[in-house]
Amino acid sequence: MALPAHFDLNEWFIVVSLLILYPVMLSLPKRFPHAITIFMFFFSLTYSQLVDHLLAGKFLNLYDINDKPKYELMDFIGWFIYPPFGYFFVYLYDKWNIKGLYTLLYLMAWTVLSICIERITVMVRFFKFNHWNSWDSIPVYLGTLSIYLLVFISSKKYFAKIKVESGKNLI
Amino acid sequence: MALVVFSTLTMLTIIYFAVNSHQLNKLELAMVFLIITYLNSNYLDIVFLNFERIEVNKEPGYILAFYTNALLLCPFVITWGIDRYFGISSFSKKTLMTLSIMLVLLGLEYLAEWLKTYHYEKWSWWQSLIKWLAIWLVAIFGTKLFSKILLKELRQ
Repeated sequence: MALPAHFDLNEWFIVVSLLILYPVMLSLPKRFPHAITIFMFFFSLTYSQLVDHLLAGKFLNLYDINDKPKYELMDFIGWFIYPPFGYFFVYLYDKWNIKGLYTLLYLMAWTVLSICIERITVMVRFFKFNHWNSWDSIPVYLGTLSIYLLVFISSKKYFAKIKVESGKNLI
Repeated sequence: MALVVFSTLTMLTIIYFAVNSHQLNKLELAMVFLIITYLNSNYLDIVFLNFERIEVNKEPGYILAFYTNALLLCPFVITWGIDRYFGISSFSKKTLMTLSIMLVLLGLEYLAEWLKTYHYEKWSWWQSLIKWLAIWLVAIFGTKLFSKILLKELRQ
């Protein structure tokens, strides 16, 4: 993997974000089984990487990440910013027991928050837009957050189901 | 042609996968799929962007065929293989299963090149074999670890 051309604002943004996000995530009281947390962590990591791969890749090249159009070490590290965000998103959804129409409002609020964070990433040159602007991100974030929520709800339900079944088998 | 071949093969694999009984539960299967996709996507980024060893045909149909093969078909084949692998107890059968999956994956790569979806620059088949074997082994290790955590929590 290529090393950064200069260790400047975008690299510091990644380092500081990770240093803030992970301690906060790990210090939160446990709400879900570890299996669900690990599963959602990997889902977030893989999903974000695939979307960036498709949109920022060689074919569409809608934006660049970090210093070079090549795959850099800091790109790899930078993708670890997404899972804590995903975790906070489902953690609060679960904690506040959001249902019905409030789910739509919750998704819209997180989309606005994501756009605001994206603007910061553009300012620190983590993202460099070629044929993209933040308006284009609105449907992407809405879709991504909805998919993320669906996967979380389904996996949590499935875990509860197999827990009941395994309990019956033990009896 | 390439898109028709790979999308048909992918659909057949997914249907076969869906109607078959499984050794692993759905959460474990989804986890295996994620691990494989994550590893393969990272590998493709490095080989594709940094080393420029893969030259993908620029026509949209070929690009779609390339992604269908790399992000759906191959991960589904490996996930199916790992699911079967966990149902086998003898070492010789496990080795045979590993070899069979490697052959299928190499065959798919050969087919993709033959259909002119992409071609490798300065590449040899054993490099692909090492890649798939590494992904296979890491996925098996990851699945074992995840299953252990899951089982522990189900018993609590």
